[in-house]
Amino acid sequence: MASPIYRKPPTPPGIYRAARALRRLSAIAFVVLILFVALVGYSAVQIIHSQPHLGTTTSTVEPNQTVDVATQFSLTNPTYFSIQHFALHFLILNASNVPLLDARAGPVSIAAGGASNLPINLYVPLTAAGESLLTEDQYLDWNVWGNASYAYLFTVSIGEATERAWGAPFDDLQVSVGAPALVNGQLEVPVTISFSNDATFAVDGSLNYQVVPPSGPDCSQGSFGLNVPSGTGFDETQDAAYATGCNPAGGQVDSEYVGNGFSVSLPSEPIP
Amino acid sequence: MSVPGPSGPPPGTYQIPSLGWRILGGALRLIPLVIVLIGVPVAILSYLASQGVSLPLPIATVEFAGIVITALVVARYVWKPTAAYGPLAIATAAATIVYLYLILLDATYRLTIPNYGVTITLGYSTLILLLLIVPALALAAGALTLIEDATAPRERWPFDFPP
Repeated sequence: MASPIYRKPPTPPGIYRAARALRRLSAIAFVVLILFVALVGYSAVQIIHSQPHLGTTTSTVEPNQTVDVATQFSLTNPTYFSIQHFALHFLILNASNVPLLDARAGPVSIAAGGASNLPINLYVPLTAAGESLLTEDQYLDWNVWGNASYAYLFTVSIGEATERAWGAPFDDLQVSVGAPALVNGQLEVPVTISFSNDATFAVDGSLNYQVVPPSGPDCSQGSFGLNVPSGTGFDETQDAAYATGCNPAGGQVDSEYVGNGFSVSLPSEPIP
Repeated sequence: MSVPGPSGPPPGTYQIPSLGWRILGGALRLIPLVIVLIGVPVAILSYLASQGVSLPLPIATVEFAGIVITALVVARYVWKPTAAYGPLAIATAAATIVYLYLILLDATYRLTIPNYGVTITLGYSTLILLLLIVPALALAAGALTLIEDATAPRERWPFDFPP
């Protein structure tokens, strides 16, 4: 039974209640969005604290006349939101700003509380624009972009442009051809090849060469066995059979590195 | 604009603060509004500009929009008992929508870290689109109040200003 003192407050009209509900909904939406953004910001800091990093990098010469620079990018996502479409884009230019490589890794999605290792294989060509990588130490322009969506609301892109030193496996390659001489009744010519292996991998295999005159058949040819660890030099001379009457002056020495199941042509060395 | 006469709801069912009290209340609301809409954003943008970071929005735009929205919010409070409340609520929401739309036009934040060659780009257009829901709802509420004031003047007084 209703109290004689208490009077039930009148019910607001429908249009008033609708307007009030919309105002309250607007305020609630604002507060929820602000709290969400604050939580996303806090979570993003947690990702940075989890220290995303590149793993160890290995370089190997591949049969398709490329160097495979292999590594992996480890990213932990210790937050409440997933990372979607995480991808890396690489563009590498040589010292003359000629593009050597345009490659992508990913995309992958990393669930909330998960982790991912994104494998990265960069096949740097050793032919055409990449030929100088065989014989010249140089600085390469590395441009790396990372893209991802986070918490469904934000797109994040990180770009890095750096110069990285490249150590050539046949740095400062020099080939010299001496004067022909008669040895044990056979005409021979001393051929000297020297270089420094500044690459991060050992040079194993053989180096085949041909002494090519300006015209006519090859004057001489031969092969050096190679087992040059990273960071060491190579300087050897060998006598090679020489074609009678051949004059290599003004010609060139062509050489080819033959490894385990692959071969790479080295830049020709002119003969003065 | 003046408060309508006693021809509305029965006396005693509402208690409208005087214009002086409403102006005082509006002035008190002015303080947090100026801090949130002008002070903090301008301080952050000024700091970023001093660090050589390009701004997604000119500081003058933030100041102007902040002043306009603040003035409209205060006016809406002061004139709440009048028929101007609905139009002022609509104007406030519309100004906020325009402001958010300006932010949406370049909802990308670019941070370049000097000497490291690192650029970080953050896109937040989806967030701004979601934020647009807030003034959109307020706009609809203002429209309903406008209709209510036009069809049944002073009907909302007992509920907006209970005794």
